[in-house]
Amino acid sequence: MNIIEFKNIYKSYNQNIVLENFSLNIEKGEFITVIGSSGSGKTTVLKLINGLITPDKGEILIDNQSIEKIDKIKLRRKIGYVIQGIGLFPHLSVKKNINYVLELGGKSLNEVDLNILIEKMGLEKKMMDRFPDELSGGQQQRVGIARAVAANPDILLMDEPFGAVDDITRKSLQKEIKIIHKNLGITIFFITHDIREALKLGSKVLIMDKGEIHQYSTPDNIRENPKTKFVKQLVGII
Amino acid sequence: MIKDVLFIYIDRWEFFVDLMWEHINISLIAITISSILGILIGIIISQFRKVSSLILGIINFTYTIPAISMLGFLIPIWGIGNSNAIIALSIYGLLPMVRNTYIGITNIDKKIIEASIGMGSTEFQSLYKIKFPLSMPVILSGFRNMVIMTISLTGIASFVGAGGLGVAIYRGITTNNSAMTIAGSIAVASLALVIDFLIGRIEKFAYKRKKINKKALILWLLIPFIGLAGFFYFSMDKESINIASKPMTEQLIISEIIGQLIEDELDVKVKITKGVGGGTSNIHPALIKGDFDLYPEYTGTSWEFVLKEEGMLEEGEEGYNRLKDLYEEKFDLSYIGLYGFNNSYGLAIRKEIAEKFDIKTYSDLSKFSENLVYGGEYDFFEREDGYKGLSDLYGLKFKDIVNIDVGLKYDAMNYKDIDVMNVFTTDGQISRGDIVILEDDKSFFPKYYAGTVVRRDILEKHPRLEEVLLLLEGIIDDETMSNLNYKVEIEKMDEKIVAMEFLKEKGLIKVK
Repeated sequence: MNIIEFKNIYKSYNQNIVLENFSLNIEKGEFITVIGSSGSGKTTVLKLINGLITPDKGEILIDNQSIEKIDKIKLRRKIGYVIQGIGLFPHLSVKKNINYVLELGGKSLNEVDLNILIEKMGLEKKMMDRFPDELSGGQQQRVGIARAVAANPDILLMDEPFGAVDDITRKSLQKEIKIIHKNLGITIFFITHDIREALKLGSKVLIMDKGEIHQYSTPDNIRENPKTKFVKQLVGII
Repeated sequence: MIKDVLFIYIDRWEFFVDLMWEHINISLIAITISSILGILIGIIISQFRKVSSLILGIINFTYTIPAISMLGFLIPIWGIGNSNAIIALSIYGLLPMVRNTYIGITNIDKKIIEASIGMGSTEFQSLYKIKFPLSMPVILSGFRNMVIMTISLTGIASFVGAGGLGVAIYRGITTNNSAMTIAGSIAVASLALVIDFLIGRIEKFAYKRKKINKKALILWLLIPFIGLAGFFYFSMDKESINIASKPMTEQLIISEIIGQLIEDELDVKVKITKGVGGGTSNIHPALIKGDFDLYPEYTGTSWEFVLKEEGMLEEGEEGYNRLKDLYEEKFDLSYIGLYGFNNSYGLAIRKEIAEKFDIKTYSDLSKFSENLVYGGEYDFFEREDGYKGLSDLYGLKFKDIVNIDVGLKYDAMNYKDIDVMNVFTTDGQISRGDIVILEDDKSFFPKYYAGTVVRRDILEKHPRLEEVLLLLEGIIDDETMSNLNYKVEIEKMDEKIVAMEFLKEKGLIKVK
């Protein structure tokens, strides 16, 4: 069953065409990793999913329902959102950051659920009253993920979430996101610039260049049958 | 000088405490309005960027209007008094608040705002949960500037009859009492410094962010609350009789005399607004509007300046009755009782010369003028009805004519630099005794007899008021007025005490 469908999407910024007749189906429960050159339109695709960007033409379906007919605020509260770097709110404590989405709807995590989440994300309880700038880059990223999954979303959007952390931290974060995906059965849309990460994490890998899909397939298939020169180059890097 | 200032603080402790309290109240209300309105406008233009440059432009422009003119512009709209001052101050306070709110909000990293929207915040939630708290440091620094500015600007609000420490400064200037001016200024500066320090503490406190939310919020809420309380405090005073006076020593004393007499005779509260800037041109409209109930005025001023009648007002009973009738007819105001003195231009001569040549009148003077030096302020030589008309009528030809500042005239006379000068007939320094006022035997100068102008509805409301005001009729002649002025200007006595002593001496109030 498709959870997200793009149907013939066109999008341009001031005559600069980013997406042209772009179509894509994402099945429920997939872990999609997205890789491509900068300006390939991958972040645009991500923001189309939570309605931060609206297409010039074409249709997007979430759970078989046109995004235009869905209340954007409600939609976004069911979609986790993680971005690189400064995504945390600097004036809110870690606990407030984690509870942010729930509090928008007037709720918050009870202590038990919060403790489970903290442990799952490799965070410590004493960090809860600290502020983002008192945490290391890796810890901040863990908080970012905890915040994105706290409201128990159906979809998780991640825009280069591990781009700014050191190798060791990245490895453990990759392990944890894999576990989260498995345990929650959540659909993940994960942008990265690291092909090894893309092939390691994704149940499917989406390779894009200049607004076009070069290949959309399983990591094994991409390794064995790179379809275009661009893909070959990417895979050849390994 | 430092000693004088200290003495003033000790002597008039209550006076300064009252002014300080009033100053804080006026500033606080203005600060509250500027903060709330400024932050709102700042938020609105940060959401609708297209209008931002227009709005900021308008506010910037308003900010360049000198404060004095702003207060002046507002008189026809809001009249005289605290509300005018509060509105002007609030307008000034807008700029730092609007600008800092706008800058604070627009300078937040766009990624943070996008993250909050992407997670499902509504525009409003994104504003109050993210944008507003993140721009708080910038807004707070604008707030701090605005507060300091408002407190010092409140110092000039007494120009339009508002209260506050400006009253002391202005009073010091009009009565030539520099210790009073300095005392007022130091009080304003200290108030500003203390408040600045307090806000600094709040800021520091707020940056220890763990406690920011509740306690800082309470402090923020407290400010408008105190402001509101102050507003009610002011608006309660409506039932009193409001007396105005022009910024002249003599008027300060007379208004005190009237005020104390009314309080003694009638069971009613009196509020005196002393030294309203612009004098008649501001008090007269405010009287008609009902901001004030009565004030001392001069017949000549009423005739020429208020009624704009041609020619001189007739001398004596007949002229005065004409003036009375016109005031009732045109403005529904009553002229009640002339006190007796005539504060007009006059010529003064050194006593030794007057005695030597037996000079008593202006005509006598013309016979000896060739040997004498005349001193006068620039203004007097410029006026049509000043030196030129005077010398033409009497045929005066002085040996020399000296342009001299008003404040230095009496000293110049003292040092014998000049022999003759123009004075006001009730100047305090005339009573020093070494000069003589000559008689205007051909009646060149118009007469400026002082009396009380009162709203007629106030006379109806307080049936005995007219009777009380008539008690002052004819009891203050030129010399008495000049003496009273001397006590305030040269001996630096409080006009309240001078007025009280005068009333006691005349047996108008009981000796307590």
